[in-house]
Amino acid sequence: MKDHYDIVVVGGGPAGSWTAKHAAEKGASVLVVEKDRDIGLPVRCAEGVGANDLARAVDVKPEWISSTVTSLKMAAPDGTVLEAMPGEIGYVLDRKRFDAGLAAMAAAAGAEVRTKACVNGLITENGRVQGVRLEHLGFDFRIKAAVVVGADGVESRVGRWAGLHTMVSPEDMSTCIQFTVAHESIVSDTAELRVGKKLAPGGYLWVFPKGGRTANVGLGITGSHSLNKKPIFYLREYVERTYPDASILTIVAGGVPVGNPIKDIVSDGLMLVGDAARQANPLTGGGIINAMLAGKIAGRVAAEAVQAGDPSKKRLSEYAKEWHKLEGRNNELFYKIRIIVERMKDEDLNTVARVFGEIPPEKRTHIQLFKTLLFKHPKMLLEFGKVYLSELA
Amino acid sequence: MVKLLSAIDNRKCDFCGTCVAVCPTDAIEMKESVIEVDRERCIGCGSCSDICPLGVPEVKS
Repeated sequence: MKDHYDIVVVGGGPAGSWTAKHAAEKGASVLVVEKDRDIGLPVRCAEGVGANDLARAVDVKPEWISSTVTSLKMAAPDGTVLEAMPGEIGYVLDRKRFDAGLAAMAAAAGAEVRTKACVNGLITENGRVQGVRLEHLGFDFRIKAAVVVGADGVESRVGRWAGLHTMVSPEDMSTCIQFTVAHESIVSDTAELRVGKKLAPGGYLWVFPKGGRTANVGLGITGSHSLNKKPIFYLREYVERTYPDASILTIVAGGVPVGNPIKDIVSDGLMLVGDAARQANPLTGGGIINAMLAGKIAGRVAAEAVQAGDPSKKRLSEYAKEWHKLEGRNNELFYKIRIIVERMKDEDLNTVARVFGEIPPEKRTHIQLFKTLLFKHPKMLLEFGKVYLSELA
Repeated sequence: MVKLLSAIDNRKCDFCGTCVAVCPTDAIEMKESVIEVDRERCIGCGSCSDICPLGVPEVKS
């Protein structure tokens, strides 16, 4: 570890590794620091991704895949089950191996990776970020950098230290709990999504098979719905009812920011990427692919800014703009849909399931569902229109 | 008036950091498996308690 790098990346998840890889490939000297002992642990993720989505971000390696899913079943509150995206393939990842693989790719590109390295503050001079204060194995370090990248996850403090407004209000946070369940009834090629007030009010419950009769069974609800009954209690009830006498191999809690996308994700000498930049899809909560797509842009822009000797906010804003064009603006729409779905009663969700069933299978995407609802159910359209307008205002 | 403060029991916590993100005063500090509430910064608003997946934080005087 040196005392100066072009770029210091805080956090060794997909966002951090992918930023580091693409910056190093552009010739920048890069240090990645991860606070935990291992890259990829603890796994704080449902691990489900679309195969096509993942292919947008990286050439997939077989050892990253726990299970290949060929059927995604969505269940309405009244029990109506639909095949959600026929013909599409999904993967349930092994995040430990996946994250370690991405970090190894960053290292192969020339980045230096350190674990058990906890950043506890920024070095700021003349109002701009100049590096980080770091604790590594009991020793304190000051490491200078032209650009600091905060890829420090949902609990990110890097952005706040730099004065960016990254606080998430409870109603825009999905609070999640997941058990890895072992039970004879679990099928390795089928994933499930379930909605309903009793299961996961204003959110959804997922079952993502991990192979060998095990599955990640979890749920997420927003802060507006978690005041009196916490996610853990909903999940316990569901698992006890659905998988009697099952073993629980892992318990993990976590939060996913699902608010309207934030635009201020750069400052002088500083960028935020991934969950730290609140870039997950606000409707699905999926964050891995977005983190990697953002990291690819951020790494390139950071390296070019360093080479040009201009790590200013203005220069680094290129990243924020490109990100917004690529996925940020889609997230604005997904956020609006989430607000609408979250306010729906169980009867409305049953109607949606029925409408969904009427859409030709090959066209069953959430955008198409949204459009179909608007056209076929004008009364709902009125309700949704109110929400939509209030969100725009 | 007695000041309300959030208390987070490290034995019950999973260190997921969800509370850190919703804290309006940046009063929660989390390391690998230690979580601490800054008594000076905490305003006892209860956001951490509202959002915790496990219901760990308690707001009390």
